[in-house]
Amino acid sequence: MINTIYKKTKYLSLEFLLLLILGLLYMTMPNLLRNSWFSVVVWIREAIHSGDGAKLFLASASVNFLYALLSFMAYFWSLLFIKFTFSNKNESTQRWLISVTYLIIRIISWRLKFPIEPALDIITIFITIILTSYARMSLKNINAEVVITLQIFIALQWTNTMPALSSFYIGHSELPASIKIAGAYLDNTFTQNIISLAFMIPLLLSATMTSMRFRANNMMMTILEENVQKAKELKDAQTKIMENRVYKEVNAMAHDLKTPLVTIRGLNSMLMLSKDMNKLIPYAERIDNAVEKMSELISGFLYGTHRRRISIAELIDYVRSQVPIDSDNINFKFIADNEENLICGNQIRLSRAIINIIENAIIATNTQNERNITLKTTLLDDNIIISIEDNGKGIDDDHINNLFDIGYSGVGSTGLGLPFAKQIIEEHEGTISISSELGLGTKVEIALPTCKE
Amino acid sequence: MNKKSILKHIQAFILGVLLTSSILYFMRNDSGMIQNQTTYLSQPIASEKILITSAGQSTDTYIIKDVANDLLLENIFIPNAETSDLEGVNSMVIVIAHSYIGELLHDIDYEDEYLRVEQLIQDAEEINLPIIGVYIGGQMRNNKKTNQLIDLVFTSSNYNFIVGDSYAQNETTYDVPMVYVENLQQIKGPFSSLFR
Repeated sequence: MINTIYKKTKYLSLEFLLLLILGLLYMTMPNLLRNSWFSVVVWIREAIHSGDGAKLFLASASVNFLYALLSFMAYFWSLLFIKFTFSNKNESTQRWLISVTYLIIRIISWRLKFPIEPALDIITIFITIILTSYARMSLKNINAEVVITLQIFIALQWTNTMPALSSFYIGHSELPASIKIAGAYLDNTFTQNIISLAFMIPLLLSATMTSMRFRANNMMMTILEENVQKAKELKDAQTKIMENRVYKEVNAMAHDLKTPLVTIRGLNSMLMLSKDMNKLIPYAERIDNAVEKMSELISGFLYGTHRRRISIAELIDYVRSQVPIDSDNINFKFIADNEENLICGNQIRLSRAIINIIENAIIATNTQNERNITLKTTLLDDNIIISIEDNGKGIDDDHINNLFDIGYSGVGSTGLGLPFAKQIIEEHEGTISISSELGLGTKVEIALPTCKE
Repeated sequence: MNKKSILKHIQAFILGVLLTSSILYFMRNDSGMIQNQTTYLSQPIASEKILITSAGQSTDTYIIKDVANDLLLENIFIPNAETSDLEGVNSMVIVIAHSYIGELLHDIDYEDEYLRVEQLIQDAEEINLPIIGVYIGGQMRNNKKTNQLIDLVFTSSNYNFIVGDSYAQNETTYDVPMVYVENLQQIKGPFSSLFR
C-alpha cells in the first residue's frame, strides 16, 4: 500500500516536473527568441531598402517557423497535461480538453504579449482535431501525435505571411503584418501568396497522408489485438478441453486398473479358501501376472517414452474395450490378418491415437442410415498398416490438408484428436495419412514399423 | 444518435460556418465604405528638408524613408527623433504604427514613445513646422495603441496621408485635409505632390 502510494507520488511528481519545465520554457521563449525577432525586423528593413524579395522570404520563413514553434509548444504542453490528468477520459473528450487547454494557454500568452494569431489558432486546433481523430490516435502514442501535429502547425503558420488571407484576420500580428506591408510596397504580394501556398499545401498533404497511414496502421493494430484476444480465448478453451480429456483418460485408466485388481482380489480369496497347498504357486503366479499388467498400464500412462512389445491382437483388444462399439446402429468391423505381429510402442498412447480416429469416424457417420466403420490391420513389408475406414459424409479436398492443424475440425469436434494422433504416431516413427471422397467416406491409414528382434 | 455522430455533426457545422463566412466576406460590397480623398494636391503644402520620424517604431517608417529617397526628396531619417532634431528641417513626416518589437529594439516602452511624439509635435507647432501624418498599416495594424497614436498625430498635423484597403478609424473624421491612396504601389505620386 505504502509502496503503491510512493510509486504514484513519484510518477506524479515526475509528470508535474516535466510540465513545469516545459511551461517555464514556453514562458521564457519570447525572451529567448528576442534576437530572432530583431533579426526579422532587420531583414524587413533591408528588404525595403534594397528591394530584395529574398530578404522578405527569409523573414517570412523565420517568422512562420518561430510562430509554429511557440504554438506547437503550447499544444504539446496541453497534450501532456491532459494525458497526465485526464487519462481516464475517452479519446474524443481528451481531444476537446486539449483544444480548450490550448486556447486558454494562447489567450494567457496573448495577455503576456506573446505574438498570437487567434483566428489561425482556432483553425489549427480544428484541423488538428480532425486529422488526429481521423487517424484514430490515442494519447498513448505521443510520437505519432507529434509527427502529425508538427506538420499541421508548420503548414498553417505559412498562412500568416499570405496577403490573400489578411481579410480573414490571419497574419495580423506585428511581424507578419510588417512583412506583408513591405511585400505590398515591393510589389511582392503575388510571390508571397505563391510561396506560402507552396510550403503550406505539401505540408498539409503530408500531414493528411501521415494521418491516413496511422489510421491504417491503427486499424491493423486493432484487428491484430482482436485476433490475439481470440487466439487467447481459443487456447483457454483448448486447455479446458484438454483437461477434460485427461480426466476422461484417467477414468479409462482407473477402469483398466480395476480389472487386474478384481483378478488379484478373486485369486486372493481363493488362496484364503484353498486348503490345497499345490494350488498356492499357480495362484501366486497369476497374482504376479496381474500386478505386472497393472504396472505396465501405469507406466504406459505415466511415461510417453515407455515402450514394450505389443501384439496387434493385444492392441486391437484394448482399443475395442475403449470404444463404445455396441452403441446405436454402428456396424464395427475389426479385421486383423496379422494378430501375431508385434509393435514396439506405448500401448496406452497408441490406443488413444486409434480411438481418436475411430471417434471421428463415429461422428462423421452420424448422418448416415447405415453406419459402417472398419478397422483393418495388414502387414506391408516391415510396416503394419492400420486403416480405419468409414462411410461418412467425406471431407472436401480444400479442408483435408487442415485436418492435422490444432483446433481445426471438419466434424464439429474439438480439433485436438487428429493432431494428438499424428503426434503419437510420429513419436513411434510411423506415418498417418487421410484420403476421402465427398459423400462416400474417409479412410485414415497408419503405418507403424514392426518390432525388430 | 451516438456521441461520435454528434461530434461529427458539430465539426461539419463549424466547417460549414467557416466556409460560408469566408465566401460572404470575399463577396462583401465595399461601396458603403467611406473614402476620404483620393485626389492629388494642386500645390505643395510642405517643403524640403523633411524629417521622417516614427510614432510607434514600426518598419512602415522605413517604407516612407525609401519612398522619399526614391523621389529624391531631401530628408533626414530619425525614427526616434527628439526636439533637437527639428533644427534645420522645413517639414516633418510622422509614420504611425505601433510595434512592440520596434520599441524593444529601440529600448523604449509605449508610454515613453507616446510622450516623445507628443513633445515633438508640440515643439514643431511652436516653430510652425508643417506636420504630415502618415498611416500605411491598414486593418492589419489596427490596435488600441496604434489608434491612440493616430489620434495624437492626426489631430495635430497639417495634412494626413493614408494608405490601405481600409482605414483603421474610417468612421472618425479629423478636421485636417487628408490624402487617401488605395494601395502602396500608388504612394509615390501623391506623396511627391505634398512637397513639389
